[in-house]
Amino acid sequence: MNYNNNVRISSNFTFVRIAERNTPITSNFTSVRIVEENTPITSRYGYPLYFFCPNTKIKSKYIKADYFNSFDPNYALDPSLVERDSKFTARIYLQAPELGVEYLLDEIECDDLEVLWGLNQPIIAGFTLQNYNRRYTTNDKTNDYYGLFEEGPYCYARSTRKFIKIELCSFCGNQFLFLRFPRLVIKEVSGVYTLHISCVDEISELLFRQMDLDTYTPEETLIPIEGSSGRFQSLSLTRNEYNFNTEFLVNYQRATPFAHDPSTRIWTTRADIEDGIPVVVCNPLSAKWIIKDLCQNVVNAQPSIITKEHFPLEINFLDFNIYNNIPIQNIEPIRVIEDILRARPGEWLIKPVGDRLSLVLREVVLDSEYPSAPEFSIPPTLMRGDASLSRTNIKRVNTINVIRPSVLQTAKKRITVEV
Amino acid sequence: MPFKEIEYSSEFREGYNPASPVPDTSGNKGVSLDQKAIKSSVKIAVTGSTGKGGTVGLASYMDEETEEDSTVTCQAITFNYKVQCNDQVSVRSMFSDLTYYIYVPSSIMARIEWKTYIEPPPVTNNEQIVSIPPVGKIEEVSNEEIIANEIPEEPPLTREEWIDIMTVRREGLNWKCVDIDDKKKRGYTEVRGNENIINPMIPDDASAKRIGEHEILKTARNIQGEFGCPPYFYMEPGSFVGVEVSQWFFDEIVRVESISIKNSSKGQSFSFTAKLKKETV
Repeated sequence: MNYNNNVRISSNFTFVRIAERNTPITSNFTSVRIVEENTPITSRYGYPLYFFCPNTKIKSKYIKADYFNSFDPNYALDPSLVERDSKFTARIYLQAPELGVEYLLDEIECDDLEVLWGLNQPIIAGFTLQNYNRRYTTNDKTNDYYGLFEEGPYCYARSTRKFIKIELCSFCGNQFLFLRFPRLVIKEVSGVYTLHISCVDEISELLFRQMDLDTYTPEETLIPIEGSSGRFQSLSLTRNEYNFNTEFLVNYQRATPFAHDPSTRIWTTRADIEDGIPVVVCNPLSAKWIIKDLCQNVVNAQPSIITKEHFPLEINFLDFNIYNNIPIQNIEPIRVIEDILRARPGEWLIKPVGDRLSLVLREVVLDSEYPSAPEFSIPPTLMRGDASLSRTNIKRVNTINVIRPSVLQTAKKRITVEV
Repeated sequence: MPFKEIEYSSEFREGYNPASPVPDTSGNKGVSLDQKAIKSSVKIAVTGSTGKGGTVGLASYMDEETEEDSTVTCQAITFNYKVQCNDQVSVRSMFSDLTYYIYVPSSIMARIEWKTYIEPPPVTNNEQIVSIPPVGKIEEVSNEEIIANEIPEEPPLTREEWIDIMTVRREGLNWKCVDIDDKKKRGYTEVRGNENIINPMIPDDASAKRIGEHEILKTARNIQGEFGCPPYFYMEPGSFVGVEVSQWFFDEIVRVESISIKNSSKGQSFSFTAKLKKETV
């Protein structure tokens, strides 16, 4: 027995007898089941037994109650009462990383908590906070909460970022599991006596802002430098470096690499190239590199006063090269990421990882790719409430064309016309 | 692309009243581009900011000209800028709401980008065309002079891979994706979507097929279920869950789309939504 709880086992004898030395007293349960908290399994051995057989040994096979055992398709266990009656608790914290503090909001003052977490959408949370004593909107600078319940990710008055963290704890018997949603940015605060607070996750807060960044340019037609033969100027190529995938096209035919000075962005060749012949350098950008770079730029583009912390990024799809320009002007970065994902196709998810949130990008799962066995099954007796169906009126199609447009390349060619 | 960067900072004015907003620093400026730029390519945007940041916007183009090749060029622009420097603080009390303003030193970095206009090569008589050097001639440059300034990160492509990529780049892709089963059910009738899917980033045929299948399935899977269950925190969006609903005679694997968690003094709930597979609806 490797479990420290007090175990009591009952056994009903068909007739009263004196237990002799080494008498095999066994008790078979009709089915294997989880021993729940306070399960009334009792044993009442009469005291005469103690007198006659003081060295009685009892063996029992005890299975430690686990967290929702009946959900595991590998176990053939019946749902238990503790699973049916399982609950969760919620705590809400206010984080101020620059101050190095994390305040637990008074649980009695928090109510109406809602969290929505899904694929291809931000984590959205909302709750109400009793503010009858004005402690959360006070103007008293000595108060812990001064300035921290304003909208936005940064408190200028106290020079700190500020986030809401929601900590949920699910109980199943004596087992429990935490689910934490840290780094939620306050988007809206309304009300006076009761504050209604809406939050969105930090990553979505950054990725859903309209941005102006440099266009990602994987291919550029070089400009010949006036008066110096064989020297060409690059102006906008994003990855201004030479690697194995760099290509040089002279009149749209593959050519030997040029010498290159990345500081001046000048490419040099000894070959005699006539004026007007297009010289193109192509440094394809990998999809993963663009997404990583974009996420870094989004964080760096915040006002300088705000501490920059890059968020974890998990990219789980096969990389591919991109050859077309990607403009990032007056656009939300998430739209660019979605455009890139659409080429696989893929999906995104904001996922809590410890005390941070991470952006997970992965390929979508088509119907034909569903696994044959689920990760877990929910027994019908444990479903809560009636399942509901909703239908969307989408036009059903069975044919669609998927097109990648061809590239128009205008090469120069000499022609001779005999008159 | 050639560019110019300009920085503007907010100005603190003495004697400001906290009860009224600090005036934003704003103005209108003209900038010469020092060369002929293609008018439609001129862009201005805020690339960096401190404090409360600000905005810039293109106002007008100057020295406009229509070139021989009908390209419209300009040599200077004017733009508006505004640097915000107010932080509004609201104090709510039982009797009245008080609002006051704090001056926050702010600045913006604006970047003007444009494409240089390059005049087309002069028209020459055919007789004057000198021979174009063959591409092979460029290979005379010795390898020592080809300076690879950066350590190559990615492995070189094989010849076959390169040809495949080039073929897709030049010729593009055009895949007609058809749901055969559905087409048979409808008496071999093709029901097309309103628009084709056009994406210049599709890398290969396999991805194009997946995109087509995914788009068709999106129109097919038009039934969504919402299920309440115990708070099982190993579940996350994207998990595959076995669900059995007896009143629908439904026992299938579904994929979790979203999870909703509610907790209040009136009760709590943990539910998830999932789209049902095509063959189950």
